[in-house]
Amino acid sequence: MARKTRVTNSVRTHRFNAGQMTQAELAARCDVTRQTIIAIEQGRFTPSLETAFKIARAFNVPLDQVFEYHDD
Amino acid sequence: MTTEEKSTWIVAAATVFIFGWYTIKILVDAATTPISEIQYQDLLVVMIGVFVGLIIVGEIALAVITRKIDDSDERDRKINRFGEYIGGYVLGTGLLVVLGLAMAETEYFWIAHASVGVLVLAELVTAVTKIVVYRRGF
Repeated sequence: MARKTRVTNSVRTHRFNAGQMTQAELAARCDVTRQTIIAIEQGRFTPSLETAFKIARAFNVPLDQVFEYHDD
Repeated sequence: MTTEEKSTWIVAAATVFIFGWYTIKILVDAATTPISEIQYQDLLVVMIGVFVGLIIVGEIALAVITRKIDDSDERDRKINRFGEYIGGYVLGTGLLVVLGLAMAETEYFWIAHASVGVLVLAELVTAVTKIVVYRRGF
């Protein structure tokens, strides 16, 4: 049986650290809707690798500072 | 709520409204008329036409109100695929029921309505699945 995996993120924290960037602003930079940013922040949606890179790039940080993979 | 989610609500509402009304109309007729004598063909064609028309009008109204034609992103596409996938199972299973009715040489009335029922059920399951996933996430 496959193990359950979980990807968590600190998008919300990074937004506030980036001069309180709005969800709409981040969404526009990443070519997604604001609702998708909300879903990502609430852990209801795991973005594609491409969007994850775009989000990290919007904050000028490496991918693994924004997204974490939990094995257990 | 994204434009795609609103669009899903339009389809769900139109399905329930139009085919709910049609079902009630047929049930009322069936209470007083033998099944084989119910004239459903014209009404069914009109209902399908109204259903398609209502969705088109709803989509146009949505685009005018939100001033967006297509702002879907990867999440919308993923949810759409998942909803259609689940609805596809319902459609496939339902078709076996329709096939069974045809092979048993059931009255055309039942074959026609089983077909419509399967299409409507598949549409509803697709829409409800999408709405649930939009609300709860994957």
